[in-house]
Amino acid sequence: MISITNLQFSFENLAVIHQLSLNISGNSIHGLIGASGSGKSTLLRLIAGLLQPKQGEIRIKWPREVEDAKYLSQKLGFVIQDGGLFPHMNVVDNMTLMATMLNWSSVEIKNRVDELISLTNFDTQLLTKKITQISGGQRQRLSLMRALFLKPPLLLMDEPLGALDPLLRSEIQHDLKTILKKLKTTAVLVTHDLPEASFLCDQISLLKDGQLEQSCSISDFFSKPKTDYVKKYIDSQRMIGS
Amino acid sequence: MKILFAFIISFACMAQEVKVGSKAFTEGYLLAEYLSQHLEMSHGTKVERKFGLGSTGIVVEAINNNEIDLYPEYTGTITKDILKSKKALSIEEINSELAPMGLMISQSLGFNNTYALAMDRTLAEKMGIQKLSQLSQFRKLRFAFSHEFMGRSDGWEGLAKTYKLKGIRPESMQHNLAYEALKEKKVDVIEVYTTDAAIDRMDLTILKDDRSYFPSYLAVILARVEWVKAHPQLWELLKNLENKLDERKMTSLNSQVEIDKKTFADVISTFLGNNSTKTPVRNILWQKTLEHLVLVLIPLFFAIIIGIPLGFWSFHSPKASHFLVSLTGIFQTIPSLALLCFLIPLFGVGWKPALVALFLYSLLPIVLNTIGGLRAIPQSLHESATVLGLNGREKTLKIDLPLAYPSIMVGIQNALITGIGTATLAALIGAGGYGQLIVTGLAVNDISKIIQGAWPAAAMALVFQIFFSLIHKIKK
Repeated sequence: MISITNLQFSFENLAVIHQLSLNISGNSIHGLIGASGSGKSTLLRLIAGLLQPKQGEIRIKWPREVEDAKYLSQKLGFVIQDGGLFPHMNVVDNMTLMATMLNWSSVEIKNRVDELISLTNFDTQLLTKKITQISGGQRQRLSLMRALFLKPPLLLMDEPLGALDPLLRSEIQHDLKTILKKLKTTAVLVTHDLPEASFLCDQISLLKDGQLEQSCSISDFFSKPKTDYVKKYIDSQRMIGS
Repeated sequence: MKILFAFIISFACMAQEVKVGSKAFTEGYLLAEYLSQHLEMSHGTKVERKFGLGSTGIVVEAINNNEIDLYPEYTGTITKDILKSKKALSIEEINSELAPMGLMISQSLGFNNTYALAMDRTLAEKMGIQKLSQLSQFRKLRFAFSHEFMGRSDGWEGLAKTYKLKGIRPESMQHNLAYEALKEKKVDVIEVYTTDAAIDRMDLTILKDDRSYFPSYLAVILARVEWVKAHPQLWELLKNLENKLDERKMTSLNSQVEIDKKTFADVISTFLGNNSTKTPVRNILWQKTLEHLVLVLIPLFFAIIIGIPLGFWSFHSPKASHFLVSLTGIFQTIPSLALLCFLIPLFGVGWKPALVALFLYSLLPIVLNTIGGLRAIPQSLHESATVLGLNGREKTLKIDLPLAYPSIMVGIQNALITGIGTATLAALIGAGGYGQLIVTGLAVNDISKIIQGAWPAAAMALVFQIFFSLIHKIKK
């Protein structure tokens, strides 16, 4: 679904992404992993079109129904680490903002809210609360519901669980796995946590200094590491894990 | 909004048949009131009073811009400050020099308000001193003069030369202290203005200027020629007042205001035997409140609709931000009165320059707080809005404006509260409002009058503070 060729991107002459080519197939959950500064978040923003490449190209084959979409959120859902939720709106207004802008009927909106609530296990009593009144875990669920509201064919997540404490993180990892399985959508997940990536994703790409070290299935990643860096990366994460 | 426009319209429609101005000092007010009541009594003429203008420059600007038709002035001031002439001019000479400016003056109203030397009446009578030329015979007399009189070329220096007083060393002290010193008999001779209220109160004798040393400051009516031509019968009416007021009468009128604390209108109506009804204080307060609200709210309204977009623009363009913040900052640093005066050549006198000045003052807090409010929005929320696909206009209306709203409201509140205070200064250029009461109070050195203007301004600020905190609570 996404094909990236010879991608080059720099911030103030400092190369962040360097000669990167990568294919992300449709209906898969793809993990982008790497140390901080490896360029994984930048790559995700390039895919979303928030940043423009200096060279190379990113081609996304959009399904016909969203090709002429008015809003970016009809094409892709984007979940960021701290949720990026608007504090001047309540929970339900955050979720339905874009649907109201697209003049969805109140019935359509209500149905979609119900669907998402049951999908994410969100507490209905919180719908009229302010953003500051709900917990970190609920905020991440809300952020995901907002990203999914317009049923985009692509879901991009940038460290969506990074701000959560370990117990909650583990709980939401399990929920997220169930959600992604039910959704049957293409998803790209940026995380620095290898166990999390291997738990949630089918495919995995490891970045180092803006270049691709290895891109393959989860099982190949552990059984056939291509370079010493990949081996080292796997080992370091195991040590923390054990 | 409708109410605001109604205010402006009622403000603009106040133009009536004669607009009489005055400068902001006791005698200026009294003479202007004297002319006004005289006109009102005789033909039921409607008079609009624009009293208490800040300086000669401002009144002249006002008369040139048709904001006033006439005002009381002195020949000496006209010669020195308006015609910039170094030599003394007669009334006829003044009129021929004023003609090209479209101005003219009447004959003297009857008195000369100039410098004079004064002594305690009893002492002067005991010593037999009546005129200045006698002073040189009494070498033991003690003199005290104001710093200004000591410094002016037409003050002590020339006086000593003309009356051969060299060798005398006068004390130099503040004008009102000189009066005190005379009262305490620490000094014998001081300089006064010939119509000072204190002459009456302290029973002083004015020594005759028998060598005509002091310049002539005859009180006259300065009017616009155009107006005089259009209203010949009113001008004739005013000319009836020529040579009717002497120094003693004027001194007594001044003293009734400054010592007895009577109002200008009361003093003059008693003097003229005018029994027509007087405007009750409550009405004046109501009118001043309306004027003050116009002065505060109209500029604020425009500062809001211009300041907020400017704030957004500067937030998105750092260069614009630098330029705008410096520019609005410069307006803020210009002292209010100076800014008001700078605007007179562009907008004349009255409420127009005041509205512009108050608008410029309101701009900075609103622009700064808009920028501040936008800067306080976390980067992740800007990114959120972008990934949702909101366009610039939608993002501004749905996200930026509501998030920056509390900060913008603080800016508006600041602009409003300081505006209420600054607007009181606008009275000095004839814009009305509570400031007019304060300026009058300052002119006659009457604390209670000053308070009459100051408390409603403070109350208005308080009411708006409460209003803002209510909005804040409702919003929460």
